[in-house]
Amino acid sequence: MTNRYTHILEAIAEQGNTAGAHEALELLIVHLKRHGREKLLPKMARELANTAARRSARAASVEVAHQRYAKDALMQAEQSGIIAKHAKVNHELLSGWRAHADGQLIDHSGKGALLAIYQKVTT
Amino acid sequence: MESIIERIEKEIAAWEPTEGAQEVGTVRATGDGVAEIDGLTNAMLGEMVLFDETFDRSLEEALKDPAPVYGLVLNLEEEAVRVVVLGGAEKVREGMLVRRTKQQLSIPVGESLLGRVVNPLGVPVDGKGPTGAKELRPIERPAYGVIERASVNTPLHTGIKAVDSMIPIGRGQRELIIGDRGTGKTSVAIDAILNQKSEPKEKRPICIYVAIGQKESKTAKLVAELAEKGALEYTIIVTAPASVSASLQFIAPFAGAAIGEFFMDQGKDALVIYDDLSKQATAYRQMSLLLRRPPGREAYPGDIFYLHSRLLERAAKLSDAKGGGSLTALPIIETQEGDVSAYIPTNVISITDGQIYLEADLFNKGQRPAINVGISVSRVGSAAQTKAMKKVSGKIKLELAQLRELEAFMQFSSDLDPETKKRIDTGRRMTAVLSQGRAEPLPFEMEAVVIFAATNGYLDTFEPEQIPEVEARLREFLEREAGGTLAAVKESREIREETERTLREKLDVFLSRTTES
Repeated sequence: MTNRYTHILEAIAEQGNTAGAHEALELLIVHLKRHGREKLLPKMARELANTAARRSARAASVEVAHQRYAKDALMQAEQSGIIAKHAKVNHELLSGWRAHADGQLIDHSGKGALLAIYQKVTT
Repeated sequence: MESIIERIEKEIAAWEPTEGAQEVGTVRATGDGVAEIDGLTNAMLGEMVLFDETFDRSLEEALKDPAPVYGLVLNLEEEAVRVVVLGGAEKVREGMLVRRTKQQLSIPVGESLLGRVVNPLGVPVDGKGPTGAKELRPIERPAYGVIERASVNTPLHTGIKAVDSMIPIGRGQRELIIGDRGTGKTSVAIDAILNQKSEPKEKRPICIYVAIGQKESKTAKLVAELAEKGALEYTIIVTAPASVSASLQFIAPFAGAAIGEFFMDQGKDALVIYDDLSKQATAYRQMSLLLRRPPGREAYPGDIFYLHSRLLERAAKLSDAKGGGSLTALPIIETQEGDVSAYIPTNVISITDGQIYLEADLFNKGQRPAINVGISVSRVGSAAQTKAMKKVSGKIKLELAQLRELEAFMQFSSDLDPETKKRIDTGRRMTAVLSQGRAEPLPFEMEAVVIFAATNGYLDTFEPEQIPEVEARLREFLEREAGGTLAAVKESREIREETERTLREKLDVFLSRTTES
């Protein structure tokens, strides 16, 4: 039940700072009070914050082994449907790049390649 | 043999970057062996996923502990996927990347598993190096349909007189072994494995012993015993001891069935022992509660029956068109205080083709194996018996049935009429004949001949207390002086007229020698 109310709260939040959103929020609070469920509000707010955090974690990220790979990496990632504004430098990748967004991962890094070879050789 | 350097060079030369994107998720929460995953929107039920520890670690750190951690997708929910971690749950942490493998959970199978001890994922745990098994089989597979099966008509000899004479098991049957703790259930199963040594190699079933939730010391002792008696060469042990996660204990029997099916599909016979399914049910209950599935009776999930039925239905005798192989299942269930009407025991009793019921009272009175032949049954019956055994077993059943009826009067034995006393003595004698030591299985021809001697009055001059010793001497005598007769019974699988004549002569000789001394 809390999940359903949280979805409603989420939908209201997506409307932004509009009059319609404020009105919807007030109606929701009235509804909860009428049914004796106003105690769910703090939990709903926490759940909303968790959802926002998860969304942010799922946001597109492109990592490159060196800054010189950044432009190419961003372009190739965009061609594959992962659009990010900037590329982060991660020397652990050794070479190449990798992109991660919303349940998709493209790994063209040296580290990924070496690990794949290691697993093939040792299994 | 290719060196490791050459192999690495070959892999580097052949390596190509993966085209396209991989589907991944992130661990949202984890605890008690269950991980809640964000993402993985296209994951399938029963799919294996890989918890990628290496994603946010340096290459050096990643290579220090490369053992992968796998999980099994068991719940597909609106906003998350719940995955049961298959070992190594302590390595899973919040925020970890999870990759789909797009494969069902599978186990490597092959002839190279013979003599090995593996875990339910096929990883060897006996310290003898990789198994070399290449073919992967999904641990869950639909059972064969009706058309693909044939009637059970070939005996699986356990070497236990009480079982082979009155509760005969056929190849492709499911026979439940049920009883309280410490009544000898595992011993019955192990004797069945040991007895296969007396079968000719081409007809010998491959034995798979699945240890679920057992003490590791018990499994180690068992492996040592099988090795000592030369049975390990045709046996595979799958172990999920009490120290491993519930998820591994849950999949262990399915892994055993997958290994057995490999041999069955090749036209061979296999025997799989699940020791025991009560512990698998407990592990499945634990997993289901952690997956927040609604609890039913005794807190078991609603599909607990289906857990066992789909496992046991995989035991089959295949038709000639499918190769004629078979997979015989001996599931074991532990009861509490002899209660066979409890939930899990009744479920499994209704699935199997009979049960061997071991009683604590009989065990404590010294009757071993402590089989209650009155309530034990094999629904396949004499279709799975040799003609030799069929000939001798009818009378023994009758005499034991009469003993059971008269048992209540045994305490008044001094006041009974001679006829009743005689029946009681005969019954007690038969019970003594059926007693057998642990790990002393007998080849079927010996069983048939000993029971023949008992049911034809050759042991009537001895007191029931003397029977174990007399029987041991009889067997020794038969091996020494009636080897040809035993061989004839073994060859023809029946006691023909001429064989019976010779046998009677030998038994007369034995009797005269024994009574003289």
